[in-house]
Amino acid sequence: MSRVLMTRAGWWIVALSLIGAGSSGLPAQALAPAAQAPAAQKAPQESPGEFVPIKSLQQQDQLPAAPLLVAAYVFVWAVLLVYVWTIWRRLMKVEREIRQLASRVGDSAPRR
Amino acid sequence: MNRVYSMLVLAAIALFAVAPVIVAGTPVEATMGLVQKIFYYHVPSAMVMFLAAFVCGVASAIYLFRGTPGADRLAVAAAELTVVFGLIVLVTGPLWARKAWGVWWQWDARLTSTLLMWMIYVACLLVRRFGGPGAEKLSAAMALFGMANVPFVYISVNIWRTVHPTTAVIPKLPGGMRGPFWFCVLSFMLLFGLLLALRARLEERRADVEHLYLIADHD
Repeated sequence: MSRVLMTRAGWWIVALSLIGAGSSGLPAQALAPAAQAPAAQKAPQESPGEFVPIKSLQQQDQLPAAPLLVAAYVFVWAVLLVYVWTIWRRLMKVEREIRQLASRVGDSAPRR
Repeated sequence: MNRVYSMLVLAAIALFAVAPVIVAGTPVEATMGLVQKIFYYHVPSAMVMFLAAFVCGVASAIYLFRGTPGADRLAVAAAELTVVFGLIVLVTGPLWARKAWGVWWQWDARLTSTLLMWMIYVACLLVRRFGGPGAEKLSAAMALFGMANVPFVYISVNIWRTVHPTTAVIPKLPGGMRGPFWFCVLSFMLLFGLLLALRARLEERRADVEHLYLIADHD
């Protein structure tokens, strides 16, 4: 029993270690030294850490606003239309059920 | 009644269809630019979400303390609409934030409290759907808790230091923005009223089905 527990505990330790290594970006860190070399070679020409006001950014570096605006309005319309459609569909189903039940109740009513 | 309802539906559709045209004519905000126009749908959706949560809470309280079935039907309808309009707020907000703040999301007081409130109402609907007998009362109690959140969500931007704009923005809107904004608010409020009536009608018809089943079984 203790051997089984130790094996299971061992698997948990290994799994948690792998998850921790993955989230800490060890693969990225492993690649970083290689990436730093070309960056160090470029340092005399540009400093990537320097603050640049957004209005001074070049056009291709700025985030376009129009797609975000269009996406927002399309999403609102889509959500409302889908919701109205779901209500309509549920209402039609319930109305159909009511008609069937009403006819059944009407048929089973005692005849005098 | 049907004629009035049909006219209101047409009015709501017309208002909602005209709103983007009106928004297109509004002035472009100086710092945020074009993306600021999401404001004309984002803020009215938030206002409707708060109203729906309030209606749900009041109806739930009436159902809990008086047992009125009509109040329960209204509470379900309002809870669903809180989720729908809350979803609109939680999606349009990040779309705006991505451009304005540079990030999709911030765990600040307003955004976090809005998300939590939305999750409470999702939980209300899940409890009703899967909770079994007596789930209506449990859901009503949760809705009361959700309604209590509304004032906290609203004033969170004034109390804590957040990246979200404060409530002082709306009263200080320039003239060119004020009219279209309140037009959108009116459109959303009318749409909310109609959707609430429609959804409550669905619950009413479901209650009629149950009543007919009882009669059919009795026979």
